[in-house]
Amino acid sequence: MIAASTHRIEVSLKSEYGDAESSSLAVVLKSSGAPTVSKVRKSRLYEIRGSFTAAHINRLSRDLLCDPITEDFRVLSQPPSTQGPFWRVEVRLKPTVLDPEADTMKNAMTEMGFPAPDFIRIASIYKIESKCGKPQIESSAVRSLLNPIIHLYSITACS
Amino acid sequence: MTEKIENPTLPVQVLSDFNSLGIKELKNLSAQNLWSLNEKEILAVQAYFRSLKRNPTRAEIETVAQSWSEHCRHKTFKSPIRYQEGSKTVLIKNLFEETIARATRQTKKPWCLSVFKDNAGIVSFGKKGQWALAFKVETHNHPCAIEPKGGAETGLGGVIRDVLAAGLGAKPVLSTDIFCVAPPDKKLSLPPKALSPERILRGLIAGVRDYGNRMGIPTAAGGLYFDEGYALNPLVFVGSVGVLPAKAVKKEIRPGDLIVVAGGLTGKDGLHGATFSSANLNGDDHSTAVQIGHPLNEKRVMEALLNARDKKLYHSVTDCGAGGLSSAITEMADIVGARVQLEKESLKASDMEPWEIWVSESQERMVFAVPPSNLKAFEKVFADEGVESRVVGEFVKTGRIEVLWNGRPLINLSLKFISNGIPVEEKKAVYIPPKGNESRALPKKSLAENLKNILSHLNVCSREWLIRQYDHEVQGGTVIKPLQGTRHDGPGDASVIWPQAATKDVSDLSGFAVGHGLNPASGKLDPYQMAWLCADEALRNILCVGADISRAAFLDNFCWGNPENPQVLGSLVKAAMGCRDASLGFQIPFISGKDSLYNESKDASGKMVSIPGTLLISAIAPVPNIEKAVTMDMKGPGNSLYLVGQTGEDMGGSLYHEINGLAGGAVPRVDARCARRNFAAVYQAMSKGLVASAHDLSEGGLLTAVAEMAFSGEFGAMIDLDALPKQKPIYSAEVLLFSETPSRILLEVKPEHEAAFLKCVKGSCVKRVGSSIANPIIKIIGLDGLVLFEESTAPFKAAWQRTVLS
Repeated sequence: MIAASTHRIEVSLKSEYGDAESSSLAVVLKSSGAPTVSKVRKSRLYEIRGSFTAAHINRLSRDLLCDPITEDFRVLSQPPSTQGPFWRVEVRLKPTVLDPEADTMKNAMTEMGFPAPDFIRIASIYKIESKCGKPQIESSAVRSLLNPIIHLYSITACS
Repeated sequence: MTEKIENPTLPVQVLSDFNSLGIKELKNLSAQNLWSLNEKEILAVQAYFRSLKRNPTRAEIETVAQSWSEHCRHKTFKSPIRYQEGSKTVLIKNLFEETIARATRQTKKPWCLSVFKDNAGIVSFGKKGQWALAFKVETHNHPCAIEPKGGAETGLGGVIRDVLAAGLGAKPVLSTDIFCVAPPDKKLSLPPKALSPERILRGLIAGVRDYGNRMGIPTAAGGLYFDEGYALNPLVFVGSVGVLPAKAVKKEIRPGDLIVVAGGLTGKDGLHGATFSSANLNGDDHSTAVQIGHPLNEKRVMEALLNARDKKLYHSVTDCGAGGLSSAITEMADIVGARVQLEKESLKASDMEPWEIWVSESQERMVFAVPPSNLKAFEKVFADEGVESRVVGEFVKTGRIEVLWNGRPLINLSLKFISNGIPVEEKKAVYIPPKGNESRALPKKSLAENLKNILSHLNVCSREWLIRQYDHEVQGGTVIKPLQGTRHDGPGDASVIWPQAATKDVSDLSGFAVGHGLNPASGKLDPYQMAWLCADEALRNILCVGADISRAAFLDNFCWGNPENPQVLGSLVKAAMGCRDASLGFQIPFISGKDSLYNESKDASGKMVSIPGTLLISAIAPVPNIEKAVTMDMKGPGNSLYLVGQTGEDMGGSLYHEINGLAGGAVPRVDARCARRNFAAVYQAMSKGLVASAHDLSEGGLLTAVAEMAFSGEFGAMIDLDALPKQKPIYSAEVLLFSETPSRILLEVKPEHEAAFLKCVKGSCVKRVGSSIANPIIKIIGLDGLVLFEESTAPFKAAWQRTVLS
């Protein structure tokens, strides 16, 4: 019997692929109060709690969570290793708000023969390269990346 | 799948001193609990429970509050209004009955199968009339102001469920979306919690895209309108068209039918959505009213429902929208009665009070009336799609709504009280026409500059960046697409859908077109004429693609400010009168509608700001043979250009005025008799395949329409202003080129069809005004016979394609 633990998997676009969404987010952030944003990279963070082996997590990441042609995944140890300098903005839905994506993922995991997870939380990670200070990054993120009514967020400086 | 919570046990909450409370305490209680019941209403509720000699449970008051909310009851449209215009005062007993409903009755169209009764309006369809089209357009404004993406998703999900619950269920074949937002390029001072217009617009588009695309329904008939008046209260109109067998239009609940809920589990999502619609947005945190859509769940419900419908497994169906089970079951039980055991509902949250379960607005749920003998088969159909269904009660002939919670009475109300107990309150309306300050001196900008400014105006410029995000091809029936022309990027007037995915009959070439009319700019000057202009524009849009408008039907959507303000209500009444007269004038019935009021909020300085009164008229009509459908792009050189309808000096509310900073002027009037005759002739010609292309003249007038047709087809055009049919002599080229006289269409006719075309349009106002040319230029011959304007189309197309967002 494997003990239940929380696994964190980050999925991001391979660097050789142009990331249209991130580029357009950079423009949006610049116009919402963070003028020095030079680059944004968006990725997805999956937090899955349950009794999984390392092989489970690898297969799950490869076969369900990422598109192996355009995306890479990293199974993160705590705390996440970082390569900066950049601002790391993590955005997730409040626990009281329905998360259809997590719901669908749970379904898919059961259908793929994985043990049922205890819970899944999905977050968006934005790595923002900018000379702006935290208050500027925060106010521009609140204006453009998230809605404080339904989202929780954290902003950390990574160096 | 979200886990189901077993055996919820929270007790029934009785408001033990309700009957002894004074009016002040009652009002406080209503405000605290977001019931949105006004003084008279809460007193009526107290009087009812005093007569029963018992205090109510919280669930009972919630039920009444939901049923009496503006959202469910349309109180403004159905209560008496003392209406004053000038020195005349009249009492309107029921605005809806006396305007829109009356006009619909008087038009007496036998092909209207269900109007204003069901979840959507239903009209007959198909070669042999064996099918029917259900059409509904809804607003979802308040939720979208708070969380645009979630609001747009659940708005679209809700209107799709309305169509799924029209008759015994229609298969959705088209989604529509119209957004009114503030211009994102303007610096506006917004209150701290308000989202920026750009943010709102991106969210709305993402919501419709993510939900519509995942549902596998084409989104192909939309619109986008910018005005600063929508900065705090964006408007979101989402619509759905479905196809159902004509035999499945009738639904009837029989006593003994089981009440079955199918779809997602019930949680705390979107509590108080219905009563929320009666409240102003005031910057407080409304997170409980926020819902997030789950398209994959809805898709499964849709597939199961259509399968169960074809197997005739249920007698009736409705969707769980605003007000949740409370509204759905109470509405269904209307003339019968219902007994519910609420603990049988499946939950996904463990800490739910029974009243919360009853009014929760968890999405993607439908309520069915299933005869007991079909239950097993019904449950199997839903289980096969992975959808949970549960029996929560039965319909009984008691005329009451009785709800038990673990054996204890939770609700016991007479349906008569719920439907008739609401106190009638007379509202006051005053119509004061805005002061016109006609400015006749037209500024001297060059025609080319004016045309460029118009084409790049936010309300005219290309929407390709938006349309391309939507899947408008899924189901394989979008025969005329939203973007038309040689490079598939021209502004089509409407889309034509051939719903073979629903009928599974490729020998039947019947399709349908959907168009919209929206003109808030004219509404600011004259709400009555705005209604006429919206009707006219919606009709012309579908006529331009070849729809048979003698079989058209209208839908109305009113979005206004606070109706407690007599002037706001006055303009609403005026617009409703316009709808009535336009319906009678064009002889086209309204089949469904919706109103969203209280669209006002405090701005950054604390001043209450209302939206401009906004009316959306949507039109739907069959295209009997999709092979005869027409697009707007010019098809070749040497073809004649015909203008339908006379041009007048109609610059009031025009885009030309707006871009040149001119205000006022009279809003154009629609001559319905003349327009009907012209439109009928045009349809005759189109149905015979005699029209190569057609485009309506709307914002920006003739020159804009010519430019759009030319650059979409990559040809040129020559227009002779002297040949234009005019209402009276007009000597200004600017007026002739930019006037927005309604009811006009520009047609392209090939030389070999010209004789037959002229025969078709004999007796109507259709005149040859120029021709198409191979060289992609626009050439205008002035009234003096000299060349007034000769420019290549390329810079105009470039101006039109330059957009603020992309």
